[in-house]
Amino acid sequence: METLKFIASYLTIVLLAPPVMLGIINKTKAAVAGRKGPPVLQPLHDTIKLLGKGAVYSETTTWMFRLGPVVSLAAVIAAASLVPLAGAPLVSFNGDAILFAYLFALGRFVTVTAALDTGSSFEGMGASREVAFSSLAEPALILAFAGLAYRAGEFSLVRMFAPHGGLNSAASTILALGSLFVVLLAENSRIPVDDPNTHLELTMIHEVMVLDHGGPDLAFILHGAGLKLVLMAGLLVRLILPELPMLGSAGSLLLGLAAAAVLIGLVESSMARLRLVRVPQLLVAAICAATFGLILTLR
Amino acid sequence: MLSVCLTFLLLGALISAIACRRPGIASAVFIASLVTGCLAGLAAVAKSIWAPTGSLDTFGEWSLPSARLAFSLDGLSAFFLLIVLVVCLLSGLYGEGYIRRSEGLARSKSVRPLFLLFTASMAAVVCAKNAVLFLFAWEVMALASFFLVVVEDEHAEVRRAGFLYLACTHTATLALLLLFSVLGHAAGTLDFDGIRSVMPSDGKQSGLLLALAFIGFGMKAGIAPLHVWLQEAHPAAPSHASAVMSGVLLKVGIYGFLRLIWMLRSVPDFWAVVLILAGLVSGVGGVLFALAQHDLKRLLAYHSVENIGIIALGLGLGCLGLSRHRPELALLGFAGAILHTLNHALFKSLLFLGSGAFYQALGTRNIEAGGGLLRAMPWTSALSLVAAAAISGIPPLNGFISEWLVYMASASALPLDSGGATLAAASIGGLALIGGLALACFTKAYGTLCLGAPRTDAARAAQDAPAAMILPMAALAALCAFIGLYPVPALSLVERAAAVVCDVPLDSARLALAGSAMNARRIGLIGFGVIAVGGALALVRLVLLGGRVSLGRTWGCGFTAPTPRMQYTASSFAQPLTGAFELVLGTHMRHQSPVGYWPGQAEFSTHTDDRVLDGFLRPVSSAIVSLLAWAKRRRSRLQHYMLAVALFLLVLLAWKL
Repeated sequence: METLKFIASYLTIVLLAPPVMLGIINKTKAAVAGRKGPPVLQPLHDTIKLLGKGAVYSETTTWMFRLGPVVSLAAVIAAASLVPLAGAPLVSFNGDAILFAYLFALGRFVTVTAALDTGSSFEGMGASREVAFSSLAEPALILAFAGLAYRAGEFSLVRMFAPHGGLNSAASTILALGSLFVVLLAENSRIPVDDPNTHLELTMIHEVMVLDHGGPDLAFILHGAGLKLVLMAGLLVRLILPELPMLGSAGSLLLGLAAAAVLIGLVESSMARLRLVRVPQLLVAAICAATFGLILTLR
Repeated sequence: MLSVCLTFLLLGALISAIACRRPGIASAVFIASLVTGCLAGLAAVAKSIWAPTGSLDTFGEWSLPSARLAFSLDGLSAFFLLIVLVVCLLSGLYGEGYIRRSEGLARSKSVRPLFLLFTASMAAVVCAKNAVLFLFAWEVMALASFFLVVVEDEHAEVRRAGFLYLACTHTATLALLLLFSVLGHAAGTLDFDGIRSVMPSDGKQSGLLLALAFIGFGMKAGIAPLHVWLQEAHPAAPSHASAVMSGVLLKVGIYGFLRLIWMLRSVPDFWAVVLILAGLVSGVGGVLFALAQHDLKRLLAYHSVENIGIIALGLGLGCLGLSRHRPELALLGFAGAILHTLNHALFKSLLFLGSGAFYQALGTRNIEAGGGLLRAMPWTSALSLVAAAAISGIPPLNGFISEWLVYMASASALPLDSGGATLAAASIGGLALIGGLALACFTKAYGTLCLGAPRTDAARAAQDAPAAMILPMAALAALCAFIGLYPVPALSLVERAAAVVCDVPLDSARLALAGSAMNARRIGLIGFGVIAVGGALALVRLVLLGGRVSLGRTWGCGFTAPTPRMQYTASSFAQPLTGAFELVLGTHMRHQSPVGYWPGQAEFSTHTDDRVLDGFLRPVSSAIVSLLAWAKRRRSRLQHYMLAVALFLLVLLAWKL
């Protein structure tokens, strides 16, 4: 019974948290701009609508293009099994944090190859930016992980992101947190790295890679992207927020996710997207922060 | 069984050389001797695993002083023999199909015997237990591979690459000759077991030994900055030979390092520092230079430098463990390096075999001439995709498992003192950067070549390779997926090899690596999970779509007449990264911009020279040549020469006094 309840709450979070979190981000941005904004559940409605539609495929594409959305969502779901969403993760072992990072690489690989399969210059541009920026985001992510793993004594997400009472070890945690937040924004194509709302193909990264996808494929991609945001934000939340007694672990995680969504919405409302040539500088800064954090931990 | 293996391979080489005027007979002899020889060798490997004897097989006397024909198959030799035989067998079978489709090679009389000789010599090198025998086999291996590189010697660039390779490989042999002289002088014997039992474990002379080993084995393995021959020789050789050179020959250099560590039993700290630094330079440098290439085989050659860098990181971490007396760290580091050696042998030879099929279809190695080959050559492209994903370290394929092991070795070196922790942190950051850049490079190469619309007529008319070439590639791809999804058998072989290197009993090595092996198995299970979830999602997608699918044009932002030439090129794809690392790469750009309202001609091309070869060795050697030419012009009279000789003798005399 306990197991069933655990799996049920896990599934609920995997299915529902992503659209709701995106909804809260949009609502925050609307509130700051003085608009009413779409309802919080709008992304969920969009996904359901897309699932019911047919699809148009380019004559240039092959099975690679159809494989992309399916595998990238499968990879993110597999990564979700490593994250302690409902108190504990489904699977946990020493070294799962590396697998977590590389499952995202799997998703990126198939998304990029699917984009290149269309033969479109625009999608090639987006793919090129995606691989360039993520190859700088990856060292920041893994170095930040390494610092946390050293402190936890094990390279597993559940030990590294244990809610051990907030910011007690000060500077190194703040540095790791800062670099992980930059990686979160970059990996999930949020401002200041990428703008999920822009409609200019030339300036986008993630959105331009999925220009040709439609119907269930696009629904898979949108859900996968949202789930990726939930997973990374969820880890950060566990690092900062101690478990609140009246809410339980899943409840406090959801509360934290809502707070993270508001924070991301505020970041997006308060600044513009960086020029593309500036993005690597931001990511290198994140690498430096993660390295300093690691040095402070090792000291 | 090992003697049967070597005999068959050498006999096959001899008969196929005699029968070279009758291609039918030569081909039949080649296949028969390669298959029987390799199967016999694999049987020897299996026997050494199930019934290890540990004794030397001595094939009789050899009249050379202090030389013995001594072979044995301990865990380390057996592992590398396995790599040699599997990759050579599959590449050789592919090579038969490849030779038949290639006009230049079909006329060549030497390619079959040389391939067999090359295989036999590599098998002998990894099993030899005597320095003279080792060097003899090593030299046969070097010469056989040199002649394989220059098989198509009607092209000037092939000859140039061949001479460069010959110079490099002899530099390596010279260093090894000195290395074994030093060891033999200290130990009084040239048998490996003898050297090992006499060698003091205080690490005397280890600086000299490291320098010689680094030149000798590192040159062969392609560790930067000694990689200079790789990017020239790999494109020049026929594809199945480059597959073996990149997949196996480089690994023989790695084997040399491991065998030397086994002989010395303990290594000082600075070996770890040197190997980890060299690994970082090779890894990051290799992948960056690969990003800037357009020639597919040159790109793959630079990726070999990158992967050798990852292996060197593992070796360095292993040495760190040995020098700090931390056996778990040593085992984990060496296990990562050894498993990555196998994995790289599998996916890199697969990539080279694929590149041969693409080259035969397109008539050029330039990836910009491809496009849309996934439609035209479905099998070759699909199998190359497996290799491209595996080499980028993507789970659930084999490359991830070994990179993960090196990560875990680095993580377990973090709690060491500040020096060790610095090395470990550098290796973690370096691995992450290498992983990201490798993904960028392989999506670039694969996307330009196989995806999108055909860019040239040749790509439009391309035909897939025949089954004789596809089946060996499929076998390699299956091995890549198998090790990724179920790493247990591969890891148990790796444990044996690592136990030999670290000089610990097999059981305690098993125990020390048990946790990692269990977790690697979990990674495999999650890989199955990805496949299961992906399958379920694909089913859901099919049901939801219900056939409501229509075809259209790729979205061109309203532009309705796109042509294949408007696709993103490989250079543009890599530009954000090559631009960011311009200081390292030093890419030359040549361009003629369009001018005026009705521009006529415009062109743009880039070329990235090798920093060490073109940036350092060529200028230095041409300066020496011009200095000597100047000296020759000035002193062309006999009296001047005699004066020079007399002066030199005087200097020598003064120095001796």
